[in-house]
Order: sequence, then C-alpha cells, then structure tokens
Amino acid sequence: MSNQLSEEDLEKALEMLAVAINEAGSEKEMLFLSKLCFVLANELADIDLLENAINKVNADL
Amino acid sequence: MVRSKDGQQSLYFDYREYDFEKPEELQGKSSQHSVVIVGAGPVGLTAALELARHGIKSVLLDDKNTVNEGSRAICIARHSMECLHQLGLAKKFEDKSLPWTHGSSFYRDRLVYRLEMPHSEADKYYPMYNLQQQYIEQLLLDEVIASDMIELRWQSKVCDVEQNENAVSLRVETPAGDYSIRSDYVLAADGARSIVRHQLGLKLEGDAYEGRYVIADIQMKSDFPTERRAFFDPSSNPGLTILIHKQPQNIWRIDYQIEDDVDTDEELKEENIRARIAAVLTMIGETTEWKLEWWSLYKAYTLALDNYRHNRILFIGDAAHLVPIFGVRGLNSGIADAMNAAWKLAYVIQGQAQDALLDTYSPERRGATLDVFENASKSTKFMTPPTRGHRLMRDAVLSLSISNEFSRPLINPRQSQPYTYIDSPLTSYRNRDAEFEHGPGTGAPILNSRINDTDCLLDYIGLGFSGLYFSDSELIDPVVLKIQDKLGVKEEGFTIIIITKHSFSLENIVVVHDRRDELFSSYDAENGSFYLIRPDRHVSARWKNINIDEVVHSFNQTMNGGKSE
Repeated sequence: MSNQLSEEDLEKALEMLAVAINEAGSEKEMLFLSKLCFVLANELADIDLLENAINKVNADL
Repeated sequence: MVRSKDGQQSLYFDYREYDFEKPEELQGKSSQHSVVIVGAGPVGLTAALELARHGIKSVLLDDKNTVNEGSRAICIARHSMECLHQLGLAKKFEDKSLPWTHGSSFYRDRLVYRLEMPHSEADKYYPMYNLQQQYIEQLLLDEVIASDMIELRWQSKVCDVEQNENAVSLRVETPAGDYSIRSDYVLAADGARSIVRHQLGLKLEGDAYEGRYVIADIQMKSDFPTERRAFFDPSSNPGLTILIHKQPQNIWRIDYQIEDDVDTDEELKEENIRARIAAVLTMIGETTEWKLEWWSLYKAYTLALDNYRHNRILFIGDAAHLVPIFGVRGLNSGIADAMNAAWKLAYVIQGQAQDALLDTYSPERRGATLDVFENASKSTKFMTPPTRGHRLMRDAVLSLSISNEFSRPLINPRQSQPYTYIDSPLTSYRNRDAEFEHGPGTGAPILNSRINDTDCLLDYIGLGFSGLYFSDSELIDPVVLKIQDKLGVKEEGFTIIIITKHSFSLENIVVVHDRRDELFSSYDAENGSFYLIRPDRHVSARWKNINIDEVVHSFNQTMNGGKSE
C-alpha cells in the first residue's frame, strides 16, 4: 500500500482512537470499533485492500 | 562500610563514609561565598565541578555523609558523556561503564521491535552507557574532593532559606550545632524533596501517571550483551511490563510493573520480590544463581516548577523537575541543567556578562523539560497505558508489529536526546540556518566528531566561547585570527579553532587538520564557514560565510542575556 500515514500521524491516530474508545465506554466499544471499521472500509473503496487488511489483522491474534 | 537495602551489605559497592568537619562559620569566622550548592548528588557535584572549571569557588552542602544508596539512575546518554568530557572525566566513566546501542521489545515473548540508536565510527562516544548511580556520584565526588575550588560539607542540612537583593542566607543544621551561611547565589540541587523549594513555598506542577514499578537489582553472571530489553504482556508478568538492563559488576536491573490493585507493602516483601524475579529469569532462560541486591518502588510523574530561577536561587535537576524514567531523562536532564546554570553563573559572577544572562537559564532548561515531558509522556503511556482505550490501542500496535513494519516505530522508547535551544533569547541569526542543509543548527549542541584515532572535536573546544572557522586555505583572514580583539575578550576567553583540509600550523592558534573530511562534511561547511559555540557546547549562531559584525553582535547579545546592544 503506497498511501501510509507518517510516524507523527500514526502517533496522533493512536491517541485519537484511544480517546474515542474511552468515550464510547466499555459496553459500546465493540460497536464503536466495528462501526469505525465499516466506515473506513467504505472510504477505502477497495474490497481487495480490505481483505488484505483483515488477513493482516487476523494474523498473530 | 558497605550496604545495599535496609543496612544490609552491598554485593559490589563500598559506601565510604565522610567525616563532618567544622566549617568556618562555627569557628567564629564568616564570609559571603560566591555560590552555595545544596545537595551533593550527581547534579550538584557536576555543577560544582563546572563552576570550578570556570574559576568559581563553591560550598557544597549535603545532609548525608556518603553517596546516595542504590543504583537509581543508571543510563548516561552521549550528551552527558560529552559534559563529562568537558569536566575531564569521560575516560574514567568509559572505563567503568557498559556502552550500548541496541534494544529489543517483546510482546507476549515475541520480538516486535529492535531499537538501534544512531552510532557510527565518527562518534567519539556511544549513544548510551550503563553505570550505577553510586559509581557516577563516587567518580564525581573523588574529583570534587581533589579540587581546592570546592568545599564539601557533609552532614549539613539546610533548614531555612532567606534572600534579599544582595545575598542568600541559609540556616544549616550540623552535628556541631546550627549556623548561617551567606552567598551571592544558591544552586538548589537537593532533589525531588527539595528543602530549598519547600522553604520558598514553591510547588512542582504537573501530572502523575498510572502504573507502579518495582525496581530491583540482582547480581548474576550472564553473557547476554548490554542492551535494553522491554517485555509487554510477558508470560512471567501477564498484562504488565518488564524492563531489563545490564550494569557493571554483573548487576542486572529488573523493573517490573505491578498490578494496580495489589498491596504495595505486600509486594515489596523480599520473598515476593524474589518470586517475581525468579519468574522473569525463567522466562528469559537464565538458570544461573543470583543474589538480590537492592530494590525500590517507582511511579511516573511529569512535574516541574513554573520558573527555575527565583532571584538569586537557581533550581537544577530533580529540585526543578521530575520526569519519568522511561527514556532515561532524569539524570541526563539534571547534568544539562548543571552545565547550563554553572557557566552562566560564572560569567555573571566574574562580571563578563550581565545578570540578565541568568534569566535565560529557566526558559532554556524549562523548555528542555517540557520537551522531555512530551516525549516521556508518550513513552510512559505506552509502558503503562493510563486508560482502557490506551491499553487496547497499545496492544493493537504490539500485536500488529509482530508481522507489520508500519506500526513498529510507535514502540520506540524515545531515548534521551539533547535539547536544541531554538527559542532561547541567546540564539541569534536563525535565518542563517537556512544557508545550511545539515549540521548542528542554532541552539543545538555541537557534533563531537572524531578527528583522528585519538582526538575528537571536544578536545579542542575552549573553556569559554569557541569559534569554529572552516578554511581550505592556509591564508586566514587576520580579523578571524584576532577575533578576540573584536569581541573585547582576552585570548583565554575565546578559542578560535581553524578547521582545515590541509596540514599546517599557526602560532598560538588551534589548527585542526580535517584529513577525513569528517568535520567539513558533518558541519556542512565550506571555505569561510563559522560556528559560534557557547561554553556548554551549544551553537549560538552559524554562518555559511563568516560575517564578523554579526558574530560580534551575536556574542554581545549572549553577554547581555539575549538583549540586543
């Protein structure tokens, strides 16, 4: 994948997501994360890339 | 006398005890000293030595009669080693310590990140050295005791502090009774529980972080190389974090996080510490015998004073700020504080600079602290995630990093780096930085490049200010050679260093033959380039082609404490 975040933006993403998870709360964090994945999948607009990402995340669980 | 924890014998360090000697104030004499330093820890000792190097006498007060107990701060960064080089002590520290360049981070026992700190043959010193704080203090202390510029008073506890526009007065408790000591200036180096800070009614402000660590030293023979090892969610400490460092004398530091809900007193019982360490050693495959040496409890804070200067009192080290241990910034920040405060005090006391120069201590070093906070906060959040969200994201990064490159930089422990005084009132002609593509910029410390097999640039840097003039010709502008006349300083107050691609000599001038093109290259210099260097090795300003008028203005601006003439 050629479009990657810079290290600085990765750090920002880490913090933003951590804060957002906290705001969702433990009862709704799964729903929040699932919705976020689905929104990002739609914005990615590439089903092959999504499948790659799923495989990447599934590894080493 | 030897001891480690709770009066027990240390396995490797001999704690020498020093006698109390009756000071002049208890013998009916009294004089106003130039500088009194409160606290003879590594930061106070460094400040005393740097003041002495600049010709300033000091009195050093400490309430103990020996060095601090335990290994405490064990990592000396390259920039601190360069400070020690200036004090003439680097060789002794090199001989005693263990250098390292690498680290490994593991997630559930799988390697996820390999730390490689920049290091090349051109660097005189390694990025990091491990040495127990007792040795750090003892090496500094031996030098202090040998100096006739420093009077070290043991068992001297400061109990009251007053100051007016002319002096600071300290009340001191000793085994022979109380006395008052007066001085022009005080350096408060009395640590996290600073009495001077308390007496002035000042408070450290900032944050406390989640997570507690037991810090333990063991003695164990192992051939494992010197490097930093971090274990996240390891089998021996599920859900928590462990750090392991090698120290000299077969001493190993094992820091392990403890659960939030466990009872601290229970956790600090020796049998429980032994059980935790045994589990860690089994996990990393160490099967040899080991002995427990020392332990302590640690919690991370980012706390600092709003201002490090209060009239005639400057706060240095932990008295001014507390930083998390992750990234090894506590001792290294303190040493930089001491060097910064000491040369400025020396210049003001000797009448070479205006009092306003001391006003630049706080913005420079507090700026460094805030930079440390930013980096250390990230490291600390990663080591001990403060919330569920941070914990989930941290674990996601670690899990992804087993097989993916992109997330691994987020595991970087962000080891201590020297701070660039980019916004300091003492930096000038920042627009000249744009003339360079690389090299140490305005406010940054110089690069201590090797010149040949034995010498490095710091060997030639002077006691006061220095000027690096790059030349590819033997014909040097006489104005450059006599720049001291332009600056209105004596020759010993400014060292001009000619860096040349040819081998030649000049009477009473330092000429460095850059035969490897190391300096020209690393400083992005060409014929006529000039770097103005402060006594603490930071760049005041630099010019691709020297402009004498601007050099003079920059120098004078520093002497005026950042104010233009």
